[in-house]
Amino acid sequence: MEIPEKAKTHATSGLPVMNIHTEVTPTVQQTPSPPAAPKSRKRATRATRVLALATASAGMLLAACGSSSPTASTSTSTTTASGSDPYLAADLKAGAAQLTGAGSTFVQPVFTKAFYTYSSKNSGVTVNYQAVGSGAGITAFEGGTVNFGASDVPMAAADVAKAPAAYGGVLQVPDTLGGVTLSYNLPGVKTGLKLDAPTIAGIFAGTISKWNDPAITALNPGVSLPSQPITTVHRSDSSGTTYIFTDYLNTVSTTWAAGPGKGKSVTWPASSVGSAGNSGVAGSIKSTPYSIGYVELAYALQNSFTYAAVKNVAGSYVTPSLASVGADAAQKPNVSSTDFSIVNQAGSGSYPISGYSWALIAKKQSSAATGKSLVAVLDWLTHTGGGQDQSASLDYVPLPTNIQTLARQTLLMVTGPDGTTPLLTK
Amino acid sequence: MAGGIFAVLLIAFVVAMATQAVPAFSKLGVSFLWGSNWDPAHNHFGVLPFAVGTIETTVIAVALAVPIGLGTALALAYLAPRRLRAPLSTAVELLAAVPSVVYGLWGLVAVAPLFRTTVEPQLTSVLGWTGLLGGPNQGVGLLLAGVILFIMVLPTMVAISRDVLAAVPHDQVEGAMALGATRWQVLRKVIVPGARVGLLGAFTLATGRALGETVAVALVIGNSAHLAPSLKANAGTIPSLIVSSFGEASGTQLNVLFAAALVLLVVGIGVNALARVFVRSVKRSGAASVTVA
Repeated sequence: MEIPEKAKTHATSGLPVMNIHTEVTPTVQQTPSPPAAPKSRKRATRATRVLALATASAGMLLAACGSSSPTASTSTSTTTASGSDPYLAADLKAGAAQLTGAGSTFVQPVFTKAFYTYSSKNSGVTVNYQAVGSGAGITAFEGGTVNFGASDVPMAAADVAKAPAAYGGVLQVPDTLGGVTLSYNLPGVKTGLKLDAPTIAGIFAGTISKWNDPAITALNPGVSLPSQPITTVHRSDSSGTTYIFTDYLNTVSTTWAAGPGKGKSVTWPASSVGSAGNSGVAGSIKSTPYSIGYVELAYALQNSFTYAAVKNVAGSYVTPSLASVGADAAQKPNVSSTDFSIVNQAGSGSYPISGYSWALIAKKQSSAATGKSLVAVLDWLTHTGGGQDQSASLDYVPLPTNIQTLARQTLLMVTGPDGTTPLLTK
Repeated sequence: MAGGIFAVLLIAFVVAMATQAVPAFSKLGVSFLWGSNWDPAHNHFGVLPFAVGTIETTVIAVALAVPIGLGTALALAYLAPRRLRAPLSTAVELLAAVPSVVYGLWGLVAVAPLFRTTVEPQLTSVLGWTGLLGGPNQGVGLLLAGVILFIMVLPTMVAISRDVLAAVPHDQVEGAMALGATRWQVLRKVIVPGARVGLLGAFTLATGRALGETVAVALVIGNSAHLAPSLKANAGTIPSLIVSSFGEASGTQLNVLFAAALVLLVVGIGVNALARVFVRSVKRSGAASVTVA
């Protein structure tokens, strides 16, 4: 019985949780009970209630104990995060607040799990995240209806300029890293299709229209490719996944850059089928033989999709994975909201189609108390030992360490209403 | 009173859409309404392909729904064996209550493969000479969207038509029979003309539903921003465009989407108004034609 033991030690320090042992024992009739408890209550019920109360108090004590002197806490407590990072330990002590955010659907799985975990460690803070789409998230953020926005593409300078003057500027923090896979349905070729940049651009531009085109067969010696027309599938809804994929095509192909270009929604050839969402694209690929489309990495991994290995700058064929996308991102240590593209990086292990998602917050918070909780949550979210620990289990790529540092540096710039006091503290 | 509320609501819709759409008109003029290049990445916003797609899918749906719906309604009201009428009518009414997304999903997973493997190749071999069926057989596309819309509006069409056909006064039907008219003559000269006004109402409702259908169409039309060169090609409609790009749209694109919604609203009101005018003129001459029959 660990809990009463702990409680007892603290009872001696004058905290109001004494006599837990005696209260738990059902024989004690006259213990002070919660005000509304009717006298006729059965003994067992009361005992359960008191026990619950005692457990809750003891739990709180445990947490308090853990943060004041980490060595005293037991293995069940919440101090795995603190370690050597004083900010992370402080993050979990953020004051009570109900925070709201809105935006990207891409980050929703990570946010949902991370914020749930955070609330379980600091029950005073709840975060309500609405996955309404990046564009709607930016609108909500600029309208001041949410504490933070989330967008798969950083806000453009023109949009930043439209933010309310009271924000004192907009800070953009990378919060999640993801990749885009090329999934295909090619009867007879279950795995191992290899593609390079010009071929991918050709397929999606419609200039390579058959599976046995010399451009594809040259890359796949020994694979018998059918003489069938290629059906390409794209996202019909505008999305960060499309942005990352077209950012890649735009970087590797001058004809693509001069044509469709890059964006969250671009003009695809008339022959390309549009489907809504990762699930829509995946469904279309699954039900259409000889098709190929782009699907976000986490979705492809969770649904065990077949995907192509892509030739990177170093000339090696790399399959998309948490490690290969992380390797690509690590190649570019200095991203910013104006220079954020990480597609097609060097390095033999880099998978070249990847990108960050961003959280948007006001530089000057209108309430110091809420702002403090907000930066604490976001700092926790963007670090190993905090929210980034949730990413891998959901098949999202944890942020490289240099990006975690960048996130903290950015969050340290957030101030209270006075415009000078930083809100993120150790 | 209730009418007043509806009038206010209608005006509120138009005003809300128009306020959001104004920046699009001031930035791009009105030409984007008939521009055919939709390319948000380069700020080109021509909504013509979507307007045309909306009209094409609606025409396919209504062209199929009118004869088949009317025939089914006549059968349910007069021709089918008496003990089959009630269960069949109930089935039709139940179908009218199926949510549109269900039609869309069914179209995508069940009908699209059938179209790709069977319907489209057969149609192409029979009607390929028309030049309307070029391109590969891929299942989703303009034709499938039109057919799914037809299946969606058919129950509405049948349910309303059956009710108005059954409401034609019995003495008129019996009178015609007493004069020696055949069953076919009674249907053609007494029942259908007598129910004209209500049939037009059914037609208007079906057209309105087809024009405005969003989710089901977005699932099966293939969502292309180009004018469809063939019935089998991918296309897009205004509602499917709005539903697929609204979440991530910002700036001018958002204003253009509101302008497109405004166009759709105006077209919807227009179809309704046209039908009303038509009904009124038919009412005037219709009274005469019934007496002649």
